[in-house]
Amino acid sequence: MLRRINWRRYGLVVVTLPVVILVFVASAFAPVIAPYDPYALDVLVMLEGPSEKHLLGTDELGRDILSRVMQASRISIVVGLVAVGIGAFGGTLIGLLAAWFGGKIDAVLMRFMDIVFCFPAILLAVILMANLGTSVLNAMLAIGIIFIPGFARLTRAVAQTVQRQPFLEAAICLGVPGRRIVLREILPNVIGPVLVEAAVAFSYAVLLESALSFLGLGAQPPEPSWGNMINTGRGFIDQAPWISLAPGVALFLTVFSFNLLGDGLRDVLDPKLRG
Amino acid sequence: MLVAARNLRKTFRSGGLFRRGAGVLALDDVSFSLAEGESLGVVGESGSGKSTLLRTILRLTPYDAGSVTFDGAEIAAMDRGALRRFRQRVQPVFQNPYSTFNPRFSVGASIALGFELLGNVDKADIPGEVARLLDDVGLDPDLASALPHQLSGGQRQRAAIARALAVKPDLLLLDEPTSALDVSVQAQVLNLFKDLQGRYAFSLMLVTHDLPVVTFMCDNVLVMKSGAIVERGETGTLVRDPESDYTRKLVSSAV
Repeated sequence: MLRRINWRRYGLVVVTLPVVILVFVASAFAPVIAPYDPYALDVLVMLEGPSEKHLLGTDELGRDILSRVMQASRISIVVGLVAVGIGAFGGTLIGLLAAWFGGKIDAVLMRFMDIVFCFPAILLAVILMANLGTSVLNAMLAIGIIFIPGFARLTRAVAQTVQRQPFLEAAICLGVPGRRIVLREILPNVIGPVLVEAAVAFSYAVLLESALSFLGLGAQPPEPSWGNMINTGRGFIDQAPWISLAPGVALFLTVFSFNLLGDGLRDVLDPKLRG
Repeated sequence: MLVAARNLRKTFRSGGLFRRGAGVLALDDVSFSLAEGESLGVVGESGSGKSTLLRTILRLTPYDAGSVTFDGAEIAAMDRGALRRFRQRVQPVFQNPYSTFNPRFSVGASIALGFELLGNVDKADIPGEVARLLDDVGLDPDLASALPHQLSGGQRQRAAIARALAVKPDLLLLDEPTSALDVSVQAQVLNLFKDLQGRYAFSLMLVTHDLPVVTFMCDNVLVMKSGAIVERGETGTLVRDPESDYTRKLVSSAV
């Protein structure tokens, strides 16, 4: 069975998919499979190291770190999905419009994208939250907006290549309505590359959300997030390094595996590695 | 006149929002006309502007100055309805048969699109019409369910002709329709065009670098060089007694 897999083409996906699935399952079923209530305080076991009872130890308020890491993964996943959703939808739409209309519309849209691209996500998040207040929703919005230009540029480039194909010009000459050409002939060719970009963007979104929470701009305590857990652990780094270490490792594994999944999807979609 | 072009000019410019790059003059004061039922050839080397001329008449490339009329109406000034009717009366067949069909749709689905858009055939009758068209261009009607990559180059070019004929066009514009095909298939496809022209009664404009194709297919011919028409006339006369050096070179290289 394993011998029949084309490793050059599917290898990365086969290796990273289990980690990705593990992250999704752990976050989806966190309330059921977590050993403790992630919010329950227990002053008797403050700052205890990993043990049989608490596999990853406890924090300064005696909460179980493993349960909190699992609970925190839910925020990371939701932020990642929503931010990538905003970025992929907005970027694909803008990219398709820019490529289809061309000329002035293209120039204006893409220069606007260049401006958005210049904004560091953290700065945009700070501006948004200064106006709308700190919340996870605003963090998702800020990260999502930052992703739009990347998706827009990618979509525009792919759409422009498709538009130069004779089959597309044949459709135009048949009088196929513009909207139908964009949705039925161009969009299906764009989805593959967008999917690859989405996997990489997802890992970046998780990282950004943690950075925002670390700065106190994302999830607010007592709501656990990998970022604010790492920040809390900073104060106890000498006595209880596991408080920061556990969410740090979880963050690393998630980002790493989604990044590799993106590379893996690229291999799967690469016609040169086929057969 | 079915098509009349007057003083057409087109310059391709590089550059962006603030910059105006140097341009390439692709059409330089081009005027010609094409009568109903006529077969007009356009010959020239690559880069002579012949393909741009064809794309201009297809309304795929906008022109900078001059005018093109189809059946008396300026094509650049058409409203939605007029443009839709124009699209159905003028059809292209492109050079490269390998990318002329969307790889995701079956050949039959691509051909059926013309009937769907025209709306002159009952939905239930479309498969029958597609089969009849395929038969007309010398293909097995069973190929309707095949994907484009399952067909040979010659078969695909025949299918492309079927797609163009689905809307019963008055004018067929051919851009190097045989240059990507094997020599043995080229003659078959050209004969097919002649045969179909008798049955479907369309006018024809053919762009090629291959003079023998034009002498076989066309009544009249335009010779283009660097965007301008250097010579024009009845095909037989022009080949027998070319006036310009450029045409003479084309004729002698073709023999």
